[in-house]
Amino acid sequence: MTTHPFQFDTLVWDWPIALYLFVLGIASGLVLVALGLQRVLPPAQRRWFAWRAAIGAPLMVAVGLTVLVFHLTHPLSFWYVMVFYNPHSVMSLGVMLFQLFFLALALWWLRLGYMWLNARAQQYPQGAVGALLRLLVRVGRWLSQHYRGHNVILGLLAVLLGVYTGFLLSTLKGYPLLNNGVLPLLFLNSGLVSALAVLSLFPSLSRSAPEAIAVLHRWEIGCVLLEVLLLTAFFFSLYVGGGAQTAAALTALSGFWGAVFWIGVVGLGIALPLLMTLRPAHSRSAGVALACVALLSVLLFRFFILYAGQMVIA
Amino acid sequence: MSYTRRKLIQRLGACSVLLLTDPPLHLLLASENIATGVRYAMLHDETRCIGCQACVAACRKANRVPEGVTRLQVLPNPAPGDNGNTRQFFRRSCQHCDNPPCVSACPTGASYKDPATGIVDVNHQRCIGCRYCLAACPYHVRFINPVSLTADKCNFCRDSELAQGRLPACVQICPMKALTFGNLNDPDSAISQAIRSKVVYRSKLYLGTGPNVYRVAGKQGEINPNRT
Repeated sequence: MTTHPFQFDTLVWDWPIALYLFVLGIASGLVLVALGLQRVLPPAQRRWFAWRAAIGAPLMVAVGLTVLVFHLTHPLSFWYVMVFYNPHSVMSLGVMLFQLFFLALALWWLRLGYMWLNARAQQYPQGAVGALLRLLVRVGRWLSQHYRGHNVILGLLAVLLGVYTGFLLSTLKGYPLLNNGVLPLLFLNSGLVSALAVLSLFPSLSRSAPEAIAVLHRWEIGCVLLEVLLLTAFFFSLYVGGGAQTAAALTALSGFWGAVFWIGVVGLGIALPLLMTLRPAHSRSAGVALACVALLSVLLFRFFILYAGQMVIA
Repeated sequence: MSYTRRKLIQRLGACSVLLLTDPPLHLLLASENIATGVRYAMLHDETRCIGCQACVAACRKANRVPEGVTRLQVLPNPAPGDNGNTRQFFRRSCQHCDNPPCVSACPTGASYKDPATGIVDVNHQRCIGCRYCLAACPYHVRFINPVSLTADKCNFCRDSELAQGRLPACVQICPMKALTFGNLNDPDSAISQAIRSKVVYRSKLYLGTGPNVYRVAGKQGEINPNRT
């Protein structure tokens, strides 16, 4: 049985969802990397990562949600999800998560920028604007005193964001490939890979945070090795599951989407970075090229899971 | 053997006396066993169905379903290896599950199960068209209605025929009387009696959805429990 790789009977969710999964992974990864580097780096270099995560993560989530809203058949009714909740729905829980995540990120901005806000507040000795700024400064200062607790909350929310898209798909019991407990972990891990790639695209990285480069590279290799393990667990559990699960694994790993997996995910995403550790390339252009390849590989992985996942039904 | 037949009978007797006379226990069992409401279900007798598609047309007319989509399909279900010569058919429509995955998927609560009838329905004013329910339904019976742009599917003619006190359109029109519709909570209803008196199966029971469309298997071939 041959089917068109992008149009088949059992396909419900198409490419905008894959883009959404991709940018959410980056958002989650950016925050986790920035928090993970807190203890490793001197304060100035920490702030470089913190700001990129604090701005990049909400930007990525906003892009993803915009894509998602215009994917609705009733885009103007998107706000219903913020009024009506269903605690049994992973999507509805995700809406709650986004709001908490945005709140935590807004507080992160205050924490990182309260000194700047304090300088602005000096210009308004009286009036409502000054009072508001001083209140925000006080909140920011309080948060910087309690940064550990705030970091724990941010990290927890970032992990939840990373696994959320996996759970969103793994509750679909009609699709055996998606209905798999390893999927959220795979998405969390590949989100980290994509965030590391995005960070290495910044030209100012080597200047602003030289000590971080080696750490980022080590983490990247760690994530790639973990991905090998998770992918093996993912397909092994499907392959030995019998019936539709075995059929789903075999279908996904052959044909058009099989080629995407073997070339795009295994070749570009796993084999290439591991081979590059044998002969590291230090030039800027090579670094950019490798980061782009890593991003492409993660994007292809989201497409692969989404499309190949909907080909076989339970 | 120390456990004699006499002892068994004595103990069974004691248990039944306890069950019948003990009021709290009686109430407990009653709350689980006695019907609290209506639970609509359907039985498709594949040995009777001739695949005439009259039900599909009747459904379209009764529920004003636009062209290009359908709430109901009657699909060929031939025995393997006979080149499609056996005229057997499989009904594909909403199963009105006891544990509907579409309802738990819906982020806004637009997809719901009516507690009074057991019918799984869509509140079209509340639906935003995210298609999560379309993906969540393992029976793949939901679609986006091209007119309302909301998720749509069979609701046992809840707004049309059933509201007028008639049977669902597909049941009324079936020339072979292959469809039986009724209340599973009423042991004397036609459907309860039919399910009791025949060998029936349900699609994808192993997914834990508790589907309420029962089927009498066709006369040839093997039952495929994961048929969609």
